[in-house]
Amino acid sequence: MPESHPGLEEYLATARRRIRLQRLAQLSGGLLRGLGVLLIIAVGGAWLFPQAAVALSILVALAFAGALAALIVAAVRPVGDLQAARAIDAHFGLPDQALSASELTPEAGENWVRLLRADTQTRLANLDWNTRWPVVWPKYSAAAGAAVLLLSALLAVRLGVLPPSAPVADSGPNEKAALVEELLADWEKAAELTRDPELRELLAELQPLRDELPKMNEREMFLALSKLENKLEALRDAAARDSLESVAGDMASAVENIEGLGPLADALRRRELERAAELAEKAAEKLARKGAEVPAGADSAATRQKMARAAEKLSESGQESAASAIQQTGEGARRKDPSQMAQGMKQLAQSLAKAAQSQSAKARLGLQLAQLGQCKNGMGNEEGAGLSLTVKLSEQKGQGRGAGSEIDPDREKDPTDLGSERSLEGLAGLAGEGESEVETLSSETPGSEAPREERNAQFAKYEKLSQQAIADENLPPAYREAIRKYFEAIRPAAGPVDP
Amino acid sequence: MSENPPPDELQARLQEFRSRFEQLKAEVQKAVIGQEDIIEKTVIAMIAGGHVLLEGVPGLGKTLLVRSLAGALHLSFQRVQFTPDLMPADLIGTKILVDDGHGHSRFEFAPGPVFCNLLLGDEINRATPKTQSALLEAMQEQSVTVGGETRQLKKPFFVLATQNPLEMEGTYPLPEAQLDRFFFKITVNYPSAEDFERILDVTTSRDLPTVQPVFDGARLVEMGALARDVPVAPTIRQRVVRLIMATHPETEHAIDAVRRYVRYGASPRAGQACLLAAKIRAILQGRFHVAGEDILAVALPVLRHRVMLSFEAQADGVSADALLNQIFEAEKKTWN
Repeated sequence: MPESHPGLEEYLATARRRIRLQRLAQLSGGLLRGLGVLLIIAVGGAWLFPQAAVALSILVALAFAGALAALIVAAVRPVGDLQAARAIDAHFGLPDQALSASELTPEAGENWVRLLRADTQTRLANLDWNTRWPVVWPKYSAAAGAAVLLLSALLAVRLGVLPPSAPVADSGPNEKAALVEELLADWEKAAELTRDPELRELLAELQPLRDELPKMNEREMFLALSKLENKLEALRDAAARDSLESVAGDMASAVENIEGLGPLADALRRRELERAAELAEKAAEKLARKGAEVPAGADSAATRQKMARAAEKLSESGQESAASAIQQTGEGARRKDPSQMAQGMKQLAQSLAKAAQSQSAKARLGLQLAQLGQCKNGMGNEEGAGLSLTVKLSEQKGQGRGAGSEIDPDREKDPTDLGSERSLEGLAGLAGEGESEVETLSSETPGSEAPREERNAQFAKYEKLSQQAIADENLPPAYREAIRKYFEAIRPAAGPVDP
Repeated sequence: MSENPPPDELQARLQEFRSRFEQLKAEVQKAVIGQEDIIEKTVIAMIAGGHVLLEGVPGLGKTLLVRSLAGALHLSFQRVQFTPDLMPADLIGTKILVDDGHGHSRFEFAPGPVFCNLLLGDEINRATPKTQSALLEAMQEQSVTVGGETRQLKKPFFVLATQNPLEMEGTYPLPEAQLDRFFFKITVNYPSAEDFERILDVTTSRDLPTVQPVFDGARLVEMGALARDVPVAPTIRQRVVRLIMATHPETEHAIDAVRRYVRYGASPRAGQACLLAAKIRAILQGRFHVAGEDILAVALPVLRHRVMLSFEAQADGVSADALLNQIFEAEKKTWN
């Protein structure tokens, strides 16, 4: 028996090594090609789009890691005896000899197996493994490997020359805390600018919240902002009550027929309360002068009646001071006592001045609520960050609240009152005032089917326009809602219509 | 119980096996020109103790082959021409009334031609199913039962039957049970032009070739016993199982052609025949183990008569050989 030959196990071990090498060779060819293509794209992309260089590098790094992992798996994946024996048989043209030699145990016939193993070893010893079973590395693999290394170096160089980028923003709560802090800083700046005591008071109350912000998680921050929102809404409601806006029209009606108080009535109608206060103050001074007379129209029955109604409405809305001022003015007119009228007007001027402050506070609170809403709904949203109270307050003109200055959570209700000088131009107007197009559909058939089909087609055309209008963010939401409701109302019925 | 001779002795026995086989083949080839593969397959079947069904048109030397084998092996030889009026008793023998010369008569068993070592059943498909079935017990059990008495046949006992594929008139196709008992079904084809020239040369001269005994039947049995000791690796055994199962249309890995054209697949007896024949071939190839190629080399004669084709196969002109070759190709792909 040829004892000098290596044992079958040794040949099987050699076969296992060859199988692993072959796996690596086959895999490396595909990987080199893939990595090469990826690197060409990455290097090109990094040069053309420097902002994408980091992302591309991460992608390349992941691909390298994947390739390395695949190579490691291929190298360490176990090769069974059976697989190794089969490979030997296939490469050396031995018909299932190594397979049988590795599988058969002495129980199958000790001497048979011994002879078989000896014969297998002799055959394998006389064969040249490198000739019969060469491990073929992919063509141009060295060149491909060098190219991959070169491209990797190029990408690294490109990364090295890029300016240091800002640290990647943390998308966690800190970013949101920074956003809220930015908002509060904006309010602080606005408070300094306007010297608004209420805003200062509010900021003082919010100081503990500001201190806690960096420690809060997203949920806590959301709850704190909701609480603040509720508070601001309550303040805004109170300011709205004090602003006399709801009864300004009645007050204007009460004084419009009194000689010299027409501008006051106009200012009241336009909700320009600060201006109205100034005019009321001037009227009071005029009436307080010596020899002043009760202005014409002040003691007419209509004026008295309107004054009484205005006083009643003011009283109902809790504006006792303004109600008392109107009553006193009316009483002075009735008694033909200009000094009493002057006192009433003075008191009215004071009420209006206070209401003007409330009106301003209401507008400011509306903005603050809008900021908060955007902050809550789209933390990190650029739109939310761009809405500045400081800018809005410094831009504010007159006493108008400004179109779009108020975000009402209930968008189903009537559109925002547009009292602003700035915004009236774009949104004012009555139905039918502008250009319009009328199209009449007629049918020769007496039934309703043909016109209905035409109408459906026509509606489909208009529906597209309506959808564009609804999607247009330049229109206030309430207007968009009105457009939607209108087109829903005129939508043709789906079912057949009885003639 | 397998013997476990020392390696050197085992090597010597295997060498002797191969030399005897070659001697036998060479002796038969003196009379039978060409048909080397058929001679080889027939001898393999005989070493395995199996029966052979030779199919071919008349005049191709089937009978000569069998006669030559009998002569070369020093076996007692009987030839039966199967005809439709052949009765079972004509084959296995019967009890006849014999006068003992003293005024008494007694029944005495007169053995039929089946009592021999090598029975040539010429045109076996011409006999009625009843007579064909009379051979069943003889082929499987190597015994016959006459008048309630079972009698052992000579050992070894081989049936080498021939059938003519063209003469369909007046023939009775062999039942599946009988077909299954044939170890191999060998198709005898026309000789090549060179062989035909040699046949003409040899058979038309004054000195006709004669076959001399090479060894006797007992040696043949010894060779069969040695072949049974050849070890088979589990993987190879699984391949045989898979190959046989692949002929069954209901198995998972059956190819589409099998599902379409096969009515019944091969029996386990086919697997036994396949492995035994492969063992003998392995020794002849100088190996100490059975290889997949041995299985494939003997699979066609083992399986071609055991796979029952459907009517659709006959209508489409699909032969068992063509179908089996498809199966072999499909199975071979799963081996690596």
